[in-house]
Amino acid sequence: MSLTLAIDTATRRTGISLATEAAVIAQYYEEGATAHGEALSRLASQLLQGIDRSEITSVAVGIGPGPFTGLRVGISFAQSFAFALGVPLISVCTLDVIAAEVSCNQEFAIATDARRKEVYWARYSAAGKRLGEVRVIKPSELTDEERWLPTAGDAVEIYGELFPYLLEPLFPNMGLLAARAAEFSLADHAPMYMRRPDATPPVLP
Amino acid sequence: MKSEPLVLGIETSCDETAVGIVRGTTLLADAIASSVDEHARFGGVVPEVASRAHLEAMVPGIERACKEAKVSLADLDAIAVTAGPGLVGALLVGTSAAAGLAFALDKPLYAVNHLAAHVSVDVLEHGVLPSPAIALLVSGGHTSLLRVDDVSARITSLGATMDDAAGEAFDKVARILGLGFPGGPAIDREAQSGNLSAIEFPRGFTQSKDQEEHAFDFSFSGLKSAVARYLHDHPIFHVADVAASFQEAVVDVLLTKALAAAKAEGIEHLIIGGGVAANSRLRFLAKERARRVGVTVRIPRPGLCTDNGAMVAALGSLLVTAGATSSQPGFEARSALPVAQVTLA
Ligand SMILES: [Zn+2]
Repeated sequence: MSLTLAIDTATRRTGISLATEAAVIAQYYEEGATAHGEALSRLASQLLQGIDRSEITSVAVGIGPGPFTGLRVGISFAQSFAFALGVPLISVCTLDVIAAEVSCNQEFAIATDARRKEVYWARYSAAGKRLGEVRVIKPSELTDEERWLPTAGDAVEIYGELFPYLLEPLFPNMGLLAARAAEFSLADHAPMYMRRPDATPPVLP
Repeated sequence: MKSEPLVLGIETSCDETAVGIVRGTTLLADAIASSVDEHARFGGVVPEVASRAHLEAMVPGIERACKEAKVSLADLDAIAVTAGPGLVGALLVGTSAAAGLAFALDKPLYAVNHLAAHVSVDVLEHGVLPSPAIALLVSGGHTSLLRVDDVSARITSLGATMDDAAGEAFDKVARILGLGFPGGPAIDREAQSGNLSAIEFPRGFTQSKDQEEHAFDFSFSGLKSAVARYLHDHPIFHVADVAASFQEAVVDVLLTKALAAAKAEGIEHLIIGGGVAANSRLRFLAKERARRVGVTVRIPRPGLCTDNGAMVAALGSLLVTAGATSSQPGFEARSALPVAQVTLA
């Protein structure tokens, strides 16, 4: 069997799954805006119970956009997991995975919670292809045309009144990611932080 | 008979991304990448900058350590990782990487205490640790006096700094002297040509009124202020003399307290670790003063005193050998992990 392990920690739902190209073996989720690390380990131990590691032939990971610490937890886990097995690491944009499950016959948008009253936002064609760059922006700063696009992703839960036309889903479907990982593969493995570090120098009185 | 355990250790509690490999008590690899240069312009470690650097340096570090040790990951018996104390965002990169390795290889994972690891590292250099022992751990992040009955199971905190860590005091004083960051090596260098008794700087918590409450605690903020005051009052000063006198005050307090603790606990062994243990004056004076009171001193070489992965691997190896239970998935990295907790369940 040729299995792909998929991991995503870019939203407040930590997810992990295992699939072949033909079928999803299992997928597990845990909710929580913090503690992605603990959640991921718990889910991994459930998922990998009795799985022969040598059947895992690739690892896919959501590289964001997402809040810094949670995002890194998933990437760090996935990187070393793939390295230890000597299998390729596939980096994917979490918003692209959410978009892949949207069914909409016109252009739409994905918006996920970026905290600090901002969202990660990107626009997609009706076929689910990302149009342009991912942005991090206050929902109120989107143009009316952008806000009126049908929108999926967990930001619609928080800023529902600003996004008049709501779509599903809110979070990435991990089974779908594991089964179709290659389709989402990005050339660049760098985490999509979208923001500079809060490089506030430590206080030295 | 089973051969000695082969353990890989990961350390990311501050700005070093470090991966070490040991077999039993033999050091096989010690790969370290540091983001210290990226923090220099801020005069201290910026957590988010450190965390980003850890993620980039982690897999290359693991790869380098394996090459250096000439082992493959599949040969490992266990993984060990620092779970605290330290910067939480930084710790999490290490604990996640360690979990990824442990799950991929289906090997036990030991989440360990950074301070216990600092003590353990000396087995790599000087063999089996004496016990019980007093441990003095001094760095930019910690200043602790410990009683170590069993480094893999029983450590008691005797005292700690109430304000700045010893290494922090070095950083701050180096900054007001214009010597740059990190301050420890700069002050050590400068002090070589200075007069260590040129200026009488205060020794925190050493007066008789402190003996009841703070016999084994430390305070360096008064010292730092005294240096600032001295510079203010003496527009023309000799940098080397200030550095040497300041350094002497720190070293004097550290050793006075460590040896007093040894006496109070009736213990004849002192182990010194942490980045400040790389300080040449501390290393010299520790041996001198301990000898006079019949205490043996063990200090690992400077490269093993600063944060490294080998110390985590060394503690992991001691835990495996002692038959300790490995950590359950879902353990929590903690910025203020108490030293009494050598491993996380
Ligand atoms: Zn340390």
